[in-house]
Amino acid sequence: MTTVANPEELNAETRQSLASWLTAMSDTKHLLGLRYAEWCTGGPELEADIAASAMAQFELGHARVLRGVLGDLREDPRDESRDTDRGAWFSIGSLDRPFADWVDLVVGNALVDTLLTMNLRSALAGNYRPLTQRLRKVLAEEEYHLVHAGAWVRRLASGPAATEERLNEVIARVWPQCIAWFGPDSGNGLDALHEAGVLDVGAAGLRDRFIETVAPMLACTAMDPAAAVEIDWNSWNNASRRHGAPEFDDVCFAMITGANTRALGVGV
Amino acid sequence: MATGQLYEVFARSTREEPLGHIGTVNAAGTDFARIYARTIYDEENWIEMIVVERGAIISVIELEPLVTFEGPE
Repeated sequence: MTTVANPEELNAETRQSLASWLTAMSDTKHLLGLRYAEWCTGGPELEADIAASAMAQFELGHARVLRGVLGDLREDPRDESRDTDRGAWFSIGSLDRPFADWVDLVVGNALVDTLLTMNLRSALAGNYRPLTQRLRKVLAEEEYHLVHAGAWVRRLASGPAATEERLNEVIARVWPQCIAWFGPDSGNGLDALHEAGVLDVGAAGLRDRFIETVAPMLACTAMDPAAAVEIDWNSWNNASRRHGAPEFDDVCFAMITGANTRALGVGV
Repeated sequence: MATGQLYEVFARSTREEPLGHIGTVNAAGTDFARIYARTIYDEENWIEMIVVERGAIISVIELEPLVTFEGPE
């Protein structure tokens, strides 16, 4: 495998796909970190709060790492429009709103966090050195997020009937958004990265790995990960990897864009 | 949601040093004990960390209580 040491060795189409993928990955990690952080004092036990805060810290750190790689690309889509246009943010739809309860957080951890990890593992096995030289530590830090998700899914699934029902309801809502993230059979943006060697598999392979990884975790729930999911691809955006623009509330949007602190005159 | 058992946490940061007791976690099972130990005691770059359920510890010399309470039989 020929290693790619800098973005100029990639053709323009691949760089465009890479920039969109890195934006979707880093924005989703940013929002996941924020959503975990919102529950840092709201977990069912103090130890769970600390775990949530640790995971938040890692997700935000990983967003920063990926944005560092993204910043070296001419095709980096981030500009001033992100301060006012929610549509310039590429995070997955299930993170548009805060986690409503602990079940929401656990499902975000089990599905969204795992989806991101599957992507990063694929990039670690790829040829793009700016990523491969940074991802080993990132993935080591992600190792216990999957253990955390599995332990909590099992615990919630063995809880009272209402808890089990809520778990199944949230999984059923988030699951199609995760499957849609990988895109249609063609024009998905991931196949181009695979052809260039940046990812070691294309969209279908990544989606299959994701399903295989979460299937044991979902065995105690009503979700059948192998079941077909109907997705309207006409309204799916292959840059943001989602349907529609994020529906962040004003507080969240001011937080992620830095609008709340810009008035202090000490930001970047 | 009720929590479970106490687990004792041991770790070391170099191969040369022995595992040392660094604290406890309260967890509903071994998976939770692993996660909680990892996230709570992350102040050093440990090369090894283990958790032991307190109930599995075999006492050799029992600690004498500081105070004994006398109540109705």
